[in-house]
Amino acid sequence: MIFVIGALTAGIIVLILLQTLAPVYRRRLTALVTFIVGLYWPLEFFYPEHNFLTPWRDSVAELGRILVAFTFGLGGVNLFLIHGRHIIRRTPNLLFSIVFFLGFFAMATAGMMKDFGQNWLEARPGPGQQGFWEASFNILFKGALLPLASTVFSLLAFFIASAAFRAFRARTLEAGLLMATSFLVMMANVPAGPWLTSFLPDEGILRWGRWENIVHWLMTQINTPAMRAILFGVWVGTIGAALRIWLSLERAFVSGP
Amino acid sequence: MEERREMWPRWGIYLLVALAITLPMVVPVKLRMIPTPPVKRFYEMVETIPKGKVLLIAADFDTGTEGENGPQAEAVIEHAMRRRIPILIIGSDLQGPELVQSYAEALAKKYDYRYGRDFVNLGFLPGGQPVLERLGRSIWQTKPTDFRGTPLAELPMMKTVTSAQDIGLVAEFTGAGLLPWYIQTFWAQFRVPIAQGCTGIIGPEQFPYLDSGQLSGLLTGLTGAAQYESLLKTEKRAYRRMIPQTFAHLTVIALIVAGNILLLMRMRRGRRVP
Repeated sequence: MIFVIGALTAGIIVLILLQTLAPVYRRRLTALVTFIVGLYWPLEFFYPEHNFLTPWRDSVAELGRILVAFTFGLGGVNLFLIHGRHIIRRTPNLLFSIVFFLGFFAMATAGMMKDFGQNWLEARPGPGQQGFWEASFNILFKGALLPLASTVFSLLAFFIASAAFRAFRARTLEAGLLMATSFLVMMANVPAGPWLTSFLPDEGILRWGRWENIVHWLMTQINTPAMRAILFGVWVGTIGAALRIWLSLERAFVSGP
Repeated sequence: MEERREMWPRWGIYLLVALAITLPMVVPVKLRMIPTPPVKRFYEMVETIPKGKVLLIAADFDTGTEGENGPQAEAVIEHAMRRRIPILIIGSDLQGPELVQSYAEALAKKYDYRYGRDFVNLGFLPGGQPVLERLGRSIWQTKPTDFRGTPLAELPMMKTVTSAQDIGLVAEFTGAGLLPWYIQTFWAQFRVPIAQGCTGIIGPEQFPYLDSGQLSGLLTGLTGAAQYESLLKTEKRAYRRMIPQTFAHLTVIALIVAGNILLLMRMRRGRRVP
């Protein structure tokens, strides 16, 4: 606990000191820290096993976890500032901001009390029973958040159906090929396709006429090389982007947009 | 004005999709699931986890993709429980471990699994690939407590589970592209096989890994989960959800055909095609 409080205090002091620095020095310091931290993993990885950097692996991994925790805090602060502003200024989005605060505190309270508050705020529930906080958490998480998130995701079905009707037209040979392939894949992703060819045997040459085998061939022989090429391009691009960030060539990263 | 009149009203399409999804929930329909090779390979991998090793469930999904990843994880957990394989749960997403814990708890009663003895949840594991690499080297040092804050020393299952050497299979469930993290750590460094359950939308991205052997099995979307259930000879959430999805797919196909017929008719009349 002492270490946690100490680290938090030190972190806050460093942040305050950073804010007092002139922007030009702050940028240089950010660039320097980024370069040093970014240098660690390539060096550790490309050097033979158990080099002088290896003992620091755990500490660097731990640092990553702490930074992620800080980003959650930063996200929370940002949300509070944005929604707090809406409430103070009574903007047209006032209602949404109130809902945000209610949802945030209700979920945070139920989530924390479920795990840590049972022992001192309520009697321990019997076997097969739920305590007040656990029931509250389940109502909020499984009863509200889960169906809400699934509903938002499910709305895609309606948009996809509408878009498919309006835009998926076989105007050219390529579009026709794409349509034929998508028809095969869509049918294979539901039991209807494989059922249509289920009369064919599982073995022998005729098995290649079964819907699921046709689509498996398409996915492994046509899709895979194309996807491999795309992924190759994506990862080369990612290395380029990482290099730009590491060397602070990405100006927005060190000095804002 | 004429184009607007000719255009299929958007609400009509929405209504059609809504009917295609809801009607099969009311009217009983039976469908036969036929497992595909990647699903059979996943099943075989769980079937061949050596005794004494655990199944690591990486719950890298949230409530948004629970509709697909949830039934996948549930089916795999049930399979592991049938074989009495201990289960270790982690997650690179905040909500995933909580969701998987609820599936494991629901199935635990049926298979006499007890928390701490037969399954353990380490909870959310932030930090990405470096933390997974550390976890592979030492589970106890990376996460000394479970998701409730209980020290691992107090959980009997964890006495024999200390590093990647004690893991027989990593089963990752996700709607995001986190697979390279696991391949570069568990597969490349520790030689632990990996199988994945992913959402339908990212399914095609995973096939190169399946082809290279870095991925030992793949469940794509809800259909992957339903096919896995058919291998387990059960008809649970995935199978029930597959029926409306089948009709939704057929509706979309019908709409595409209708759209193209409309296009042909317009072309024959010599009208401008939008």
